[in-house]
Amino acid sequence: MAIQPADSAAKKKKAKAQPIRTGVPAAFSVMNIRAARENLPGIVDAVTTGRSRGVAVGRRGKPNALVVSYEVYESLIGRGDKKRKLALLITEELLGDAPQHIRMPAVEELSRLPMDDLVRLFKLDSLSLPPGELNAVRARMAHPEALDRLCQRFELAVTLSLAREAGLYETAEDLSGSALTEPVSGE
Amino acid sequence: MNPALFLVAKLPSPSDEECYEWVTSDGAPFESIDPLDFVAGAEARVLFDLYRDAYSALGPALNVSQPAELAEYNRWVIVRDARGAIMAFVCFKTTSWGLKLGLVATNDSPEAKDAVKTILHRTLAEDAVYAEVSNGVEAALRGHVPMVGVSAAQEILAGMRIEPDEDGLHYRRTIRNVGPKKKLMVGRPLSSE
Repeated sequence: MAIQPADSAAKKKKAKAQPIRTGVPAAFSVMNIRAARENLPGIVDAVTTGRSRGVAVGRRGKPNALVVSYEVYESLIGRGDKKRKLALLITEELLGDAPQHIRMPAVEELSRLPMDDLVRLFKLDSLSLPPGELNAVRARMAHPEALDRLCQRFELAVTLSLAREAGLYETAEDLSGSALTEPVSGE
Repeated sequence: MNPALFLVAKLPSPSDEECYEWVTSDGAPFESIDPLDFVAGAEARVLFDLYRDAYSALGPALNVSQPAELAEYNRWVIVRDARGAIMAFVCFKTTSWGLKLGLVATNDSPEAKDAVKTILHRTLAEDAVYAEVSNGVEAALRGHVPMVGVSAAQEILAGMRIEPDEDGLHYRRTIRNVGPKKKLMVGRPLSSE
């Protein structure tokens, strides 16, 4: 099954969703040390839940240190399976700030691919490429379904990101539970 | 409590004596599934329909529009009736303070509402489970779950502007698409220490 051309609505959605994958290290905004000290619990929450890929801390806008999840540190710096490291890099690059529970299944899935497939995916800069370009990569992969699944995960991450930006979850959580005590006809 | 896991537990109607320690574990009765398979499955459609039916009358501000949006929450407790049909669910998301209550829905039957109340009473009494509540939910939980002081709530809600109440427990904050609301944090969130 070839990857279908994205319709205009999907393109618009993807264009809006670009911020979810802007967190390459060079683009980290730098938090000064005092702000980092005051916001440390929030920073730890953001990097462990995947809302942020990492937070750079430094002086006068120059990064001196980077706060990332322990899992990211261990996977990239520690000794271990090279395919898993590559899978993690691909996922970090292509799924950006998607929640951990969306990214990590992708890491598991990609870790099982042959190295040639992983290298092809590693060369991708984005999953929002024109369908022709994605199909060209797909055609050279031994397990092209892995690229399809990665694209589906990207779409899912975009959906969640847009809903979050619109305040959907905050609103829904506030209303949620009303059904416990109130008639569904509302107030 | 691994935030990388997407877990679903399917239960019969709970009893008052049941222990919910497992809710912060990654093991049984939770089953780990891929969120991609979850949102594509028939069960997510049923959960979404249950949610939509329960809340569609509460106003246009609520705009959950597709089952995929449910994948924001990575721990699901699904309650089935005696015939095996889904009658309620409670879902949570993992944060560094523990499991935060997300959405709750029932089929509006007294049995389903009782089941959800029991689950909330029991889970919110566990360490590392918490919720931000107001109005009717607060009334349903009062006396059954611990309350969190406003200073701890403020730390957990870092970055959000809140106005503490004089009672040291409640606070007001603006909920997007809703407006200012009086809220209370309940449960046992982890401390930042």
